[in-house]
Amino acid sequence: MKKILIFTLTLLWAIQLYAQVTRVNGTIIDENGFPLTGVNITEKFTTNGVSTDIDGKYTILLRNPNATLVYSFIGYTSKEIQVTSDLINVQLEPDVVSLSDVVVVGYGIQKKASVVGAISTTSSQELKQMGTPNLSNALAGRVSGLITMVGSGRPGGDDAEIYIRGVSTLNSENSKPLILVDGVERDYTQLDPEDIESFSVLKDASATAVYGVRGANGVLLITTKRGIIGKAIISVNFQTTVQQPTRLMKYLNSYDAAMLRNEALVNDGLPARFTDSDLAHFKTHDSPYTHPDNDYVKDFLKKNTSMHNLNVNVRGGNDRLKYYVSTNGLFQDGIYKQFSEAKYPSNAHFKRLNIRSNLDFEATRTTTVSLDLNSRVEEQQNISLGDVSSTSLFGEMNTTPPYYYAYRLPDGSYGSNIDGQRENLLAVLNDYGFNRMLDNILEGTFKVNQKLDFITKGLSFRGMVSFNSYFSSGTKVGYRPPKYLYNIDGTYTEVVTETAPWIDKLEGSGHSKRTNMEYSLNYNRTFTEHAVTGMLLYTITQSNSNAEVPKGFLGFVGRATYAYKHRYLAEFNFGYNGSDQFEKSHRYGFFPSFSLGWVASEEGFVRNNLPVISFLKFRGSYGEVGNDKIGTDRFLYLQTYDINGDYYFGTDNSWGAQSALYEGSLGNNNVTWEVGKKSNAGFELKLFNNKFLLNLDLFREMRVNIFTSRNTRPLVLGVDLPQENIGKVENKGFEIEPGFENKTGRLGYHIRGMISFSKNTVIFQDEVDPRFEYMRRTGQPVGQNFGLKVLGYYSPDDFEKDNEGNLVLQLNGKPILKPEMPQPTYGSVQLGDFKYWDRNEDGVIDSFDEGPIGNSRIPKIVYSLSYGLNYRGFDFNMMWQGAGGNSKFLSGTGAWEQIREAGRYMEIHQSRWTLERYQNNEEILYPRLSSAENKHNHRNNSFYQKKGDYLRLKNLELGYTIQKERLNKIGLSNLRIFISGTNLLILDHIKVMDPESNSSEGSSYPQMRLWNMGFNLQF
Amino acid sequence: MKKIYQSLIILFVAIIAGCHEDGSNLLDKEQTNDIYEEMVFTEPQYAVWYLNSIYKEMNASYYRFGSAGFLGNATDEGQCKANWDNAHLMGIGSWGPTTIPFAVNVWKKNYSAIRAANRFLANVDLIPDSDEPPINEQIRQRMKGEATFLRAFFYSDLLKYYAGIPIVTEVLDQNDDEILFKSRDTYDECVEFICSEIENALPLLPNAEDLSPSEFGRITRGAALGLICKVRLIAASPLFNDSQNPENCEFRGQYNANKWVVAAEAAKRFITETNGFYSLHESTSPDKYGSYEDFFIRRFSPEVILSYQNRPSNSSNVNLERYCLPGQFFNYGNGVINNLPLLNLVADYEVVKVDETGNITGSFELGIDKVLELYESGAIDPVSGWDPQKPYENRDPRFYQSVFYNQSPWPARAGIIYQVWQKDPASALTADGTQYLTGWYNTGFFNRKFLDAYANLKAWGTVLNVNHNYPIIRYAEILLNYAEAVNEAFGTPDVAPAGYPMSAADAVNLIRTRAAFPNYTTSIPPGMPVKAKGKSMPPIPAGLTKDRMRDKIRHERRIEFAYEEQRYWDVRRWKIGKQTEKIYSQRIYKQNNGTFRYDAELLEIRLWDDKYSLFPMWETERLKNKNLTQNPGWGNF
Repeated sequence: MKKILIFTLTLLWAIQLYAQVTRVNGTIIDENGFPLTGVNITEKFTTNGVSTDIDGKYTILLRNPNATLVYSFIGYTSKEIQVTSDLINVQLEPDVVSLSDVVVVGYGIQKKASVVGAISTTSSQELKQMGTPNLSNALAGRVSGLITMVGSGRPGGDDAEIYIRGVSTLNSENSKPLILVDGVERDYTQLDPEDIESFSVLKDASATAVYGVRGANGVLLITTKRGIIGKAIISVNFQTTVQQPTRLMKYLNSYDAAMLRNEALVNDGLPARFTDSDLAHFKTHDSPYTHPDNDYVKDFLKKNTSMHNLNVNVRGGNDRLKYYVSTNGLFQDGIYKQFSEAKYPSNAHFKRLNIRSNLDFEATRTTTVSLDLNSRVEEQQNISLGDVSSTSLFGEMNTTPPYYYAYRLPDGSYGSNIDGQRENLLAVLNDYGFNRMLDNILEGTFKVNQKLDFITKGLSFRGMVSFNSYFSSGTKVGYRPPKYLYNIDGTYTEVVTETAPWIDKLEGSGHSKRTNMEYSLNYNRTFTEHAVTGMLLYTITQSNSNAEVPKGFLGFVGRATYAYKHRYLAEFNFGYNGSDQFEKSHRYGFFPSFSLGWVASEEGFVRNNLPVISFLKFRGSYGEVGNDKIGTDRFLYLQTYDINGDYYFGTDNSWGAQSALYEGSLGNNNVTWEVGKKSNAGFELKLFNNKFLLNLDLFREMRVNIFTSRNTRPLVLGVDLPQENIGKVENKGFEIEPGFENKTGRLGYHIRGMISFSKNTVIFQDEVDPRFEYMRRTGQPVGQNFGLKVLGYYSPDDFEKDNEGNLVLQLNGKPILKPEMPQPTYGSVQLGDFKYWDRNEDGVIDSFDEGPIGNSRIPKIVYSLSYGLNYRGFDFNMMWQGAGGNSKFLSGTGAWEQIREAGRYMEIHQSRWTLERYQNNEEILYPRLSSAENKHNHRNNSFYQKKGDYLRLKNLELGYTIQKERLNKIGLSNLRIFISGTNLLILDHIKVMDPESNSSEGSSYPQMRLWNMGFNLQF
Repeated sequence: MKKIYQSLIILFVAIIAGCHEDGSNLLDKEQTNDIYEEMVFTEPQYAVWYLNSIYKEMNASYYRFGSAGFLGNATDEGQCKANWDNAHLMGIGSWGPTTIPFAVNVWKKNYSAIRAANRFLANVDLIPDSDEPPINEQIRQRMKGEATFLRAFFYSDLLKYYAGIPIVTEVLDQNDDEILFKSRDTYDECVEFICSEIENALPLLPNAEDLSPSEFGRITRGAALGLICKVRLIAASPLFNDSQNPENCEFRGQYNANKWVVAAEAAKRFITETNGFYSLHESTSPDKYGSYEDFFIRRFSPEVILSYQNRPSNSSNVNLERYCLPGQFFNYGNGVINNLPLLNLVADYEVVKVDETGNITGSFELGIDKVLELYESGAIDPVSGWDPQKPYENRDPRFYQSVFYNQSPWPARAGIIYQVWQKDPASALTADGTQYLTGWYNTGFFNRKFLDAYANLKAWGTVLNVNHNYPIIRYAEILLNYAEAVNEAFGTPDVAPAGYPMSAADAVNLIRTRAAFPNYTTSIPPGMPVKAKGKSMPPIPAGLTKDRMRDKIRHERRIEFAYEEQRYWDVRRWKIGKQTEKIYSQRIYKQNNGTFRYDAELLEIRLWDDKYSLFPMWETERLKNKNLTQNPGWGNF
């Protein structure tokens, strides 16, 4: 019925319009007069539309008399023209809010050219190149000023640690940046890079002041894709990946380990453990049950494991409705081997299914309504040792000597060592089962944008309501079989009894939710040469996590910008907000920032005299931003009394327990936010027709009011002190980004570099005056490691000798150091032990000789160099990424020899100090071996403090895009196939484990090298 | 149209206004069940709980080194199996002003407890009357007495570790610089402060006999008198009452021989003023437990004067048994064995002579030097008849109740016998056999004291529900304090001084009388003279000189209080550290014919330095407070 009606009406109009213009053609050009291809021309209020061809030409048949044509194109302002002629040529002007030319800033967007804050961005294209399933992981080297540390490659647990411009407060935990997805604080690490439109890093006060008490550590803004006017584009992106560990700890085999173990025991005056026949068995492998030689890596880890990622999205829209809908599935496997006899599928894995829908709807001519929904389910699994995030398989592999047990005994039962304290890894993978965590995430945002031009032109109102809801819980299933010791006489001793099978609930992080509302008035108007914008915004957030007291945050935000002739730019921002961390009377803080910019290239004298400069902008800013993170403590302004344990009165247990009530840490009524006083100066330069670009930023921040405890109050006080706002840290540095891009013939290429440097210094932290000046931590960087400095190894010349040249031994069998040698205080020393520097020259080696050694854990400098070229349909990209100025402290299984019955010998231990090796002048890389923890050698010293610098081939990609003509035949508009690799090479000083590993013992799930293959197609 | 816009704007303003109203609440902490200072003394229940927390700070146990590692491991009593153990660090001298290998910071813990007591005393009068929990003026007075006593107790604990300390009697603010940075009070000032505080508490405290069973564990007049006795005895001892260094200072008191008389008076006062309520413990189930060992697994006993009222060991982290017994007993490999008695201790258990009828006709001290000499010569001791190859025969009854040794049974499970031996290197046996403990740190013994020998650990994590009594003051100590002080003050071991209820020897003999052979019906330790069941250690010989009597008393303390945190302090206050340097273990070899060969072996030298007599002041505290002097020998920058 309806169809007939429409048909009839159309027919009527057609008749009526017969005498009028029925066909319009023309050419569409851009601001420079070049033809624009693919411009949409639609007849208003109809579905009638065409687009321009390669020469910018179009022809449209009209349905309506007095028709109005709408000319729209991405990146350009739409134009509406009433048809009066059959030839309409149009010049489109670039859109001030075109996506390619704007930057997402706090609570809004700005034209790139007029931005005066320090903001760096990256595109989703670059993030996708990494091929990693985790977004945080893909950021390394992509954005200047961003420091990332990828500590682990565990499926679903490979989040990177992220800092913006380093650390400016005394506790790196409190230095984490604020991360917002579409303006809302959300879990971002599992966003599919395909869904991301832009990624902004806000660095200076000008950019972050609007976030007030949450902005001092910098802000990451992630914006997801939205619909655009045009016909629906369906994209299918598929990628399949082979994963391999970048590095695994390497250890010696049973024979070599047993030799060293014997030596270590003899060094400590203990009997050797392995006889010659034991050693022979290890060598010949002829008695595998009693003398096994296990290679845990080879036996229990896969060489390769797979990952698949599929994203399908549809993007399009018309003048009423714009949409972006997408779905994404990720399946990532772990590297634990699965044997056919296994009872449970215990390999680690991560699965993710994501659905997103971003809709913009023009409700009236002046009202836009947006609805964003994102829902995700995740499943994370790990073996049943510890919790889901546990890395104990690697911990076990690193602590269990290779000769400890045979996986299976002759009768098929599981073997064990006498302690029963080491896991049989075959049993772990076959029978122990798994811990599986399920996460549900639902995020929604509703936005209204109302133009208020009727009040004054350029005014609009925006409102937003959003929520996040997370739920996490899981199951654990498994069984522990009995384990036996296989005795030399062929008998079995049950060492560990079996545990009955279990199915249990895993608590996980439970439920949490966050609701957020924002209301703002925006003003944006240009008066000939004066461009003015303004914003006033009110925001309120509440978050709950399980039974915790809810957290609240609210604030006002304001911004005013002014530009004169696109040349002189000024901006003022403020945040005025409150945090529940503080006492009522000073709960609110005001954080202002000012910035100025000068686009020199717009000046006549530059344009005329220096034509080589295509763009040059200087900018500078100063402002104050806050930080209310106080670690896990909350409500520091309150002192509470806490019930802690019981006391038992009565003649026997039947009288029960009575509670004990303790005074908690003192409250601090004056507690307030940290304040970052930030200044920034920089320039953006483009030369040779935009081919060469150079960005430079210099920054300095003085962070004051840092939360830290007073350390100068004697314990006689009798109560723990609260944190106070007394610390002070200075952080300064720079970022440089040079780049060059060019096109010669069909060959296009670009090269881009990036260096970010930041160095912090503790200015004040209420430290007691140390006994020696070098022990002072104030004046050193945050997290500076202190320890003893190793000078070398004790040699026979350092000890007392008798007349015959033999060492004089004490009652305990240890030699006596010459009296002129500094005397260590960590127990007797012997030949080959570390010789430490007696820094205070008091003749004693003790904790008073500990001074700064190495650097902090977090790199001072991060850099990258990327290179890309394209030729015909081929494209090639490569990125090297590195970091430096940091130290990594190795301990335990990451560096030490076997300690008692736990730990492994590594290659470096073969280059240990022995008298023989010393006398033969062989290279000595390690002190004499100890059989148990040696308080003298195994301590925080410069030997175990390794340089953390590294350079890695982070990414390599080769792609081919098939020519359009061929595709059109099969209905496709674009098809690109690619292969890529991530983490392909590492140059570093650590050698034994990945330099970014978050474990000092090499027991974290290893980082992965990825080999990707996939395609993107559009139709 | 305009109206719509107007209403939209009004709505917007309303929303903002509304939210801001909400918002101011949003930033307030939501109402929870938190307890704030002003509630503590206005809610009677909270006040009672607050006092409980002060009790709780007395002492959790003797686990000074964490994981049930006893302080005795830092003396010639014991050894932790692990050489990475914290007690071992003290043994090898790897400690000082920056590192004290204790699980708990004694300085900090005591001053926190003192602060709580100060706060309680300042506010106790504010607690309103109440029926439940019962609060009235009498109870407020009793509570005042308890808190006063406890504060004195914490100072007496600090005094043992550090000698003179800064005395603080008010709740400090962090800006009270004058008191925070005060210097140490002298030793004598501290002793007088502690004793006078206890005297203040005395009239407020109940007598032990007046406590209801549910109130057992509260501070009594007996505890108050006992603590005075203890503090006075230590103050009279050579370390703090030194004729070579007679002046009163932070590290020691004014020399005065009369301090022994004061100590003797304090001990006498306890005995005469406690109405005969206290007595030595008798076994409650004699067929399983001897009287001596039974005391340590009961919470209530007439011997308890002051004790930390511990929870029963019913959760995995307080299971003393698991930290003392071989892991094989409960399927846990070698286990974590944190308390192993040394041969030095075992050698000090006397050898008794038993005649055919089971009567004990004599007893003889051996000592480590004699034992070493006999292992060297291989001879049987002509005096005591002790055979170094049958080392556990006919020993002090307390030996069998304190130590597990080679071939002794584990009463908790029939059939389990301690196999604490190794293959004889000279024998042709091929397999090592079942060794419950191997390696250098095998002392040859396992601890039995404090354990419930019938508590059967079946697996790691078994719930045992055993009471472990770690007495702070028990009646046996009063008796031996009495003997020591009376002997030192009057020098007449066999004669009760005028006005005194008994002689020094009488007091020692009371202890020895209670030390009787247990009436075990099963799991009888090999070597224990069965026919002497129920027979006590004979009295010490009459007619001893003062010096000889001193040795007897010291010997008796070592045996009676083994592993009870007395040895550590006794070694220091008697200044006998040098005698405790050499640490020996028992070596036991199984020979071809199945018999055992016993030997003694030097395990370690724990070099003594006189600075170990007192703990070092924390370096960080001295950097904060320049007025805090360091104890002698610990360096003074």
